[in-house]
Amino acid sequence: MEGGRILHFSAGSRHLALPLSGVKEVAEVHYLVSVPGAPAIVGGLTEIRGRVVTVLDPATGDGAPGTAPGAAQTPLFAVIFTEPFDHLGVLVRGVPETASAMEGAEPTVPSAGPEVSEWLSGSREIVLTGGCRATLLEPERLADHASRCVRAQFLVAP
Amino acid sequence: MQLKLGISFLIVALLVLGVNTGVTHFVEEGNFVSSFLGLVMADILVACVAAVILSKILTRRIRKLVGATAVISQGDLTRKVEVSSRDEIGELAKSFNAMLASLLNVVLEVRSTSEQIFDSAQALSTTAESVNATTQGIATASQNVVRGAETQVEMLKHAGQLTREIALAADEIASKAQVAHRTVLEAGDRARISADDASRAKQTIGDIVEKIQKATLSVEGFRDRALLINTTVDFIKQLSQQTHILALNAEIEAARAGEQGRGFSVIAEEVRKLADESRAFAQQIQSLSEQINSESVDVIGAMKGSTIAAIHGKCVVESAVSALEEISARVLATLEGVREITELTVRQARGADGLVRTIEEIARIAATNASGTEAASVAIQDQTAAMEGMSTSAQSLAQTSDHLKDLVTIFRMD
Repeated sequence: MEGGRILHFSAGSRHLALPLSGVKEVAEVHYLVSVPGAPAIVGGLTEIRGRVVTVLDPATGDGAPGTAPGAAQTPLFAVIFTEPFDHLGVLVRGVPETASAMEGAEPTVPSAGPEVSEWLSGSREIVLTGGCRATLLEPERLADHASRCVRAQFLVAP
Repeated sequence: MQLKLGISFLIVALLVLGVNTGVTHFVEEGNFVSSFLGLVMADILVACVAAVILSKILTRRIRKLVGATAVISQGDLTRKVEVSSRDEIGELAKSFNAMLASLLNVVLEVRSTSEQIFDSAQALSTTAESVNATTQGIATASQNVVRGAETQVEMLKHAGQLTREIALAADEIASKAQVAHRTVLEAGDRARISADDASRAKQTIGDIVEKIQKATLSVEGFRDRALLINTTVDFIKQLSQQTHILALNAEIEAARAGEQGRGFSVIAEEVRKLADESRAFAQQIQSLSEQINSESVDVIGAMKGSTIAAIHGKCVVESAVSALEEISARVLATLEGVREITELTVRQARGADGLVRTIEEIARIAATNASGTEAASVAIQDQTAAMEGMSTSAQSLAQTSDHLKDLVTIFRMD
């Protein structure tokens, strides 16, 4: 992680980061189709290069309301995860940036609390060049959290 | 009477002669002294006897006359002296009777006259008292007139003072009216000049409005071009953003490519930087364009506001021009009125001066009348005193006539 390139972006009140190796691409979201009855963590569906991608909104995970593309002041982008989660993406407000993780900076575990989402608790924080701190995003945990939310929302017939 | 006295003296002389002769016969010769003494004694005796006899004869009627005179002196004027002779005593008696008659007439006349005088004195006293009372009234009235005249003089002096003040005020009003006339004249000229200036201002404002409108159109065109620049800049920003994303994706692919993608990662990084710079410059251009747009909007707003204000000002100037023209017309009308007022005030001032002189003349005449009335009052007082004296004299005359009557009553006349 040290010295590696990191893609960092803002999601709600948090600043998240993802290693470039875990990112397939960053695409601009021109439209987002909402899924009726879906939990808030599911921002909607969008089409990128002919593929339907489920865009998760990590900002709602902190209790913040979701943002519809039409109402956004800043452009929306989707950070598409690499395989096997390349069908998922994270909704980002503003253009993501890249940076390098500072060498010698010890990652710290953020303190758990009522404002910390379930899928973020226990995640590590890293320090980027320029002194910016970001929480390292784990696609597996986010996907798992989203799946559980969807299953809880839509009851599976026995 | 002289004859009688002559005869008497002749008789006496004859007696004395006779006595002397007789005595001489009887007197011895050689006794001269004794003879002389005897002669003298005889003469004296004869003379005395003759004197006594003659005096009695002569004084008998004189005594009657004296008696009558005594009676008359007692006041009885009715007693007449009997005239029995034709001599001087008889003449005297006649004359005495005549005198008595005259005296009686005089006394009667005096009594009558004294009665008339008494009556007249009474009447005069009454009249004097009446006149005195009237004179008193006249004196009182004249005193009142004097006081009234003095009051009139004082009031006329006061009126004169007030009239002088009015005259001064009229002079001042006249001078101020002339000043007002000049001021109105100047105001009229200024109004005309202001109307001309306002007309020129209206024309100028119209030109300014036209120029502002042209400038507004230019600025609006400028703003439209600024908006076009914004659109272009937005496109540029979008391009830079897409380039940034493309560079980002290139970097991601380079990171996925591992070592082989390192060079590509550098290129992607440079492309991303160029995209970021382009975006930054685009952002600057956009901010400048927005600033220009905003300022253009402000300028357009200000120019439109200026246009509106200019149009409003033009309307105001038009209104002012019409008002000034109306003012000028009314000033001219007022000027005529002020000129008339000036003339009237000048005439009023002259009239006030004449009034002052007239009042002063009246005051002088009133003062003269007051002094004359005072003199008349003094004369009346003197007349009153004289009337009182006359009344006193009339009373004294009445008393005198009364006394005269009393004196006349001493005489018995019938």
